[in-house]
Amino acid sequence: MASWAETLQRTVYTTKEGAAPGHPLCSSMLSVGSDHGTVILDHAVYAENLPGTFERTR
Amino acid sequence: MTLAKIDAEVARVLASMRCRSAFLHYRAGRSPPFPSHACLSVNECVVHGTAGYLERPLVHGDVLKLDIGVVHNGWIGDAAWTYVFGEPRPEVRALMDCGIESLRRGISQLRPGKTFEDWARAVQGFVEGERGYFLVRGLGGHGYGRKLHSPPFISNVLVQFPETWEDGKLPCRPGTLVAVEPMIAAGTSGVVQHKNAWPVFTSDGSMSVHYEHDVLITEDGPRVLTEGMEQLPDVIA
Repeated sequence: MASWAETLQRTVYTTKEGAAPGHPLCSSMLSVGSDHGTVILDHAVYAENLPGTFERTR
Repeated sequence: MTLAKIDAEVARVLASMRCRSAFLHYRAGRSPPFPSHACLSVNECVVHGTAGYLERPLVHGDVLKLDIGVVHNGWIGDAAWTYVFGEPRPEVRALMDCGIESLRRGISQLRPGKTFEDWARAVQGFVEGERGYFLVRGLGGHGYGRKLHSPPFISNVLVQFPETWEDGKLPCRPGTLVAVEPMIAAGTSGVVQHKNAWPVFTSDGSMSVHYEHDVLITEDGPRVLTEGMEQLPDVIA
């Protein structure tokens, strides 16, 4: 079982990773476009095999 | 623990991470501005629960859907997971596992050569075809990025009249950011919502779960940006 404080902190942190250009797995986003309102990220370059992003960055 | 206390803690954590809530004061249709930092939905409340809609303390066995939207450096993150207070009853655990697996199966379809109908086919086939639960109608996933909601709308079910879901025919194009989110109830696909209120409830009062990931579609397939959610214990002391 997890504590509420830890769960909330990690949930917020993980959600923040969804803000794509700030995602720790995205080492760069070279351009951003759109297609009829849909956000299109071009040339997302990943730094692969980075485990435990929350543990690594907090 | 109450929803109000949880929402206050979410606000504090958001501020500590130099983010702000994407949900607070959000407006949709005729609904009033959303009053909370997070969507906090308990048991038969499927989604869009507010910090004040349930005043009683949460008790052993309560199932909480925690949906958080953040704005970080001008970009949105939007993810949800289902947590339970104390060890869940077997039927609740089965519903939660169904939600997690449906999300995984659907996301596996988000790759070049597929359409968003393939997402819906995979999710519905598993949830309703294999497990016998019900996907909530009328709600679904969406594109996101600098805005919380943008095209395409991503239904969790195939529709009877394809012209009513034009986005379902769209190809999964590399570079597209989507927030996908099965919403599942144990007993019904119907929901009720009080006039000028945000919370959405199962129409029969049955238990519900909600899981949401942010996904970037790439040439090589889906990349789950919020994959860390799956590593969190979902049973809360």
